[in-house]
Amino acid sequence: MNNKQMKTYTLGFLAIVVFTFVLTQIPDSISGRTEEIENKFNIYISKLSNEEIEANLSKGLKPIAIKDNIDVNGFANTAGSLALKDNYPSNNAFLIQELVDNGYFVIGKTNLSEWANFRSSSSTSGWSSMGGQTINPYGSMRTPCGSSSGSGVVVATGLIDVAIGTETNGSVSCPSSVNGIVGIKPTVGLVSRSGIIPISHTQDTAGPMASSVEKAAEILEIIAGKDINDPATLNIPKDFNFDFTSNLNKGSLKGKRFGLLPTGSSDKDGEKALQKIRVLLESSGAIVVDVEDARQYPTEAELLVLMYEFKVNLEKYLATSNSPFKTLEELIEFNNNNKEEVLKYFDQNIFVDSEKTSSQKEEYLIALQKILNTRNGIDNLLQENNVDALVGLSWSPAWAINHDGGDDEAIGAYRFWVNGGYAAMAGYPHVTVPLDYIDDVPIGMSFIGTAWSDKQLIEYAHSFEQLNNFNPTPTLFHIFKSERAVMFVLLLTIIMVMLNQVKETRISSDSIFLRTIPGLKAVEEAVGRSTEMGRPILYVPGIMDMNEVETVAGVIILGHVAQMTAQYETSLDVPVARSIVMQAARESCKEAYLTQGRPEMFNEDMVHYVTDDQFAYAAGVNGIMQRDKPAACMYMGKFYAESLLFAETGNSIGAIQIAGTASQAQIPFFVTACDYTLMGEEYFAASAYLSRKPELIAGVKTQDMVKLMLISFIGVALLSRALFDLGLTSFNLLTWLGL
Amino acid sequence: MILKRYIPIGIVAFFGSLTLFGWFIENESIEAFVNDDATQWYDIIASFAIFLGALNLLKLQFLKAVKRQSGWQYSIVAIVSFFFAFTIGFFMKGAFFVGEEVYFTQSAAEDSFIEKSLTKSGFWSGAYIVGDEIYYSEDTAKEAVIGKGLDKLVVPVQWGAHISTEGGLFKWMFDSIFTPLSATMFALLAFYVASASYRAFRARNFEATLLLLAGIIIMLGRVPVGSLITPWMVMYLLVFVGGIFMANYFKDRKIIFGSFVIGLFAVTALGISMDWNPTEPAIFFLPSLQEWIYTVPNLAGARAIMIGIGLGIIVTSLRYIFGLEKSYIGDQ
Repeated sequence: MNNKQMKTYTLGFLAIVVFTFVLTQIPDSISGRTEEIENKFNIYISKLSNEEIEANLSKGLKPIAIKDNIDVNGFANTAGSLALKDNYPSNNAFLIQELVDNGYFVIGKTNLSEWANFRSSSSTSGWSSMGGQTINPYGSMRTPCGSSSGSGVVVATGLIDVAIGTETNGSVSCPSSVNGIVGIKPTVGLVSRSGIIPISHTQDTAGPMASSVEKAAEILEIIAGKDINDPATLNIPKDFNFDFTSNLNKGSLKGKRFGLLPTGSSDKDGEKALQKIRVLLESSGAIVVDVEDARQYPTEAELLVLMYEFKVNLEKYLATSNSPFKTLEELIEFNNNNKEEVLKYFDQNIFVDSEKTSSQKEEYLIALQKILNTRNGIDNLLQENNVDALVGLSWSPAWAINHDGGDDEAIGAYRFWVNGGYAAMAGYPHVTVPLDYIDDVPIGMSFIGTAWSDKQLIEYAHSFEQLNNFNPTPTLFHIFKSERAVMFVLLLTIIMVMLNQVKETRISSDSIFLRTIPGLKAVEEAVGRSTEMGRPILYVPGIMDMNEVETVAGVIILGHVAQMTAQYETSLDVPVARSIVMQAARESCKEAYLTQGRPEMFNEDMVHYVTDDQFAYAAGVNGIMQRDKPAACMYMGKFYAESLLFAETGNSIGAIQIAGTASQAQIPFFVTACDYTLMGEEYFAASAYLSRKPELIAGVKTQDMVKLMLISFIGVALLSRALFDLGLTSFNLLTWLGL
Repeated sequence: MILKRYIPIGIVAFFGSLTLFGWFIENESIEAFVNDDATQWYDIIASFAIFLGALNLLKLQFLKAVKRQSGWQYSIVAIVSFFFAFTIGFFMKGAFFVGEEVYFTQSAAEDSFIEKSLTKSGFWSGAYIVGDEIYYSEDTAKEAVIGKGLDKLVVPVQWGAHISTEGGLFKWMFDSIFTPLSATMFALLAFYVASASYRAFRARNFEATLLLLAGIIIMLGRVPVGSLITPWMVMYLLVFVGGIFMANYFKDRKIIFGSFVIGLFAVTALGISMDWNPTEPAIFFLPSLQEWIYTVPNLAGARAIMIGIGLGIIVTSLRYIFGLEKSYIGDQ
């Protein structure tokens, strides 16, 4: 590549990048597109009809969305599992009845991480077998987190102001944080869990997720209270003040002391976000104390407690529900029987392990003690640092949706921090409010306090919300699909290089060097051999139709082969599996014979139809081979399992065999059984090689140049990932590109 | 020239660009056209084109049979089968319901109401039972079926549904003739894989030996006995392969033999020092090794080919869209 070319390509590439960037910034209108938004982000599992919604609104009722693990009359309560698709509850859950009594109606049940993310340790947040994958509105490849995924997204998209989620550990705070909304996880016991599909009575709670602290507080006021069916609610202190809203605008952060929790990672953007918290709080007159957090997270103890309680609590719920399944064992069996749908992305190892916990009561009690000790951990931090509440970053920005390796793999390739795990185990309150953007997606800030300090935390959060004045709003629709921007840049680059190469090849007098491909050189030898032996040439253009680019390439190569057979006066036999291919192949052969000045040799029956069926076609072609004993067999097109049937039969009759395909799984068979094989790109370059037309050869050169670019890109991406993994930089090229 | 050249190229350029660039644009109409409408157009055209194929097939088979060319007997079988399937598919419903039972013909369905009267010892007494009544000839029994209006209980299948009705004649032909014949062809693959593997795995040169070794490791690693083979055995095997590899580059037998012996001693010494632990070194444990071959070198190679294929497809498609490649419409 000379300097002029280098300059042209560099400027062209920059222009393409700028052009693509401009395209990605053009927003599209969202008005009147409610259903489109719901479908695009896969928010609901079930929803009222438009008529029912209109009827409720006309009565002055207010809509609220509910996570699909809470009993609501008229809706199946599924936990996202196909097993519970017919689990229609007989009554509303306690908190739902409170909402209904206070003028709300349930507009729909939102999607969630299946079984509130308690089925597999390699799960993907926001996916359930009932509802599919919910998408983060800030990026179609980003996680909505979970397990209250749909509740978080429905509020973030602005379709509704308030929703209810549930949390065992992070299921309200995480989706609130990564979707840029407010989430309140109250003290365990403040909100009744009766009528909620449970995981753990130690940690479970329901909580509001809303577009502002005020709206979330209004809902919490309604749903909080004692319920005889949930003993934890009987622990609410007698003097507890349920009025979360009236003092909201009177509260001030001045003079309050906050303990700033570290991110626990070396991420520079995370550090910047922490500094933002510090600056804002201090600007309002609050005192910020750096907290040294030496607590050890009891991962194994927590998992054992959750698994032990899950089996007990779930079976208790199922016993009184209308579900056909009454035990965890039956659910495991159902999942195994429906693994194509239910276990297609991840397994059910937590279910299986929970099933075995019945005999581990002693271990459970020891583990439970460790979990309850986390209360001391939070209280000690508050006392030792003399602070009113702990503050920190709620969760790292939304990571990529990864159905192959699950959340763990996706998080491992990205940034990670979290605060709130201890509050979840301790059953202490935790409020999340939007803080800032990192990588164009919102992150949240946490307020964590001691038991029953919900009201204070809400007031702090509200004051901070006013102070920060950060209201993230996703652009739900772009005219251009920004997640495909990298492909678009690549495509335009290929077009640029190709057109430039075509231009230069046409005006250049120098011939372009082409590496010899033995398979293509052998085509002419094969035709010559057939002529000498007086036997026909068999040409098979694959078994697929003309809508496959491989078939089109096969028909093009057939044209060149037909030119040779016309020159050498050798007979050509082309059995085809599709009628349209038959017509195209005839046209191609006819032109070839005309070009060679041998129209009299063309016989349209040299291209003939056999059958559309794969193995019947294979039988037909093998029969032709056995009877006519062609001297050369060429297989050029798209093939499946019949490839080996052809190639081995051709081998058995001693024909010289040349294959060309882009069907990756068939390449080894052809390599094994044929004399020459054109693999992948060689196959697509064959037309250029055989015709020697400059504009086609320019295409081959383009392929090589783009390949060089891709190799360079892979090298840079590897380096970037290595530096990221070594902790030398927080920038990861692939994540930045959304790949 | 315009009809045969420029209009097809224009159509390809327009619809190709629409499909290609439409993929990047959030527009329901374009998505619906590309994903549904265009596909349906193609299906409709392909459905009509099948007549061309069928006529061509018949013509060639007729000519072959008439000219008594080699294998003409098969042509007769093909022609008869064609017309048989054609007649049954287009002119016979071949599925008549009596309750949930399905019969090929109307008369067979009606005959289902006639029961043969049996003696105590289980032999046919020569009489027929229709409902509660006994008849002594088949014809009268059949008349009785019509007389009692039982024939009205026979429900023929709908046209169209007749080809996929379970128990119907066409479906029976498909399940009982076509599917086993296809399965037979498919089953031949097992033998062809064996014969192809035999040729591919012959240790003719270094590459073939490597293939043979990888094949052995993959095969052994995927069967239960693989986990019983100690990694030390595999290490010895690798020393042998190392020897074969060296033989390609060093023609001096002393060097090869020396290296080979040193390798064996090294493995033995290592084994002794590690007490011949049957689970260590874990990397040479056959199931782990086969997994590694499968997920690392194999996947890397496959991806390299995939990238090449992807690029080839993009560039080839662009050549069609920009009208650089015209051979598919006969332009040589």
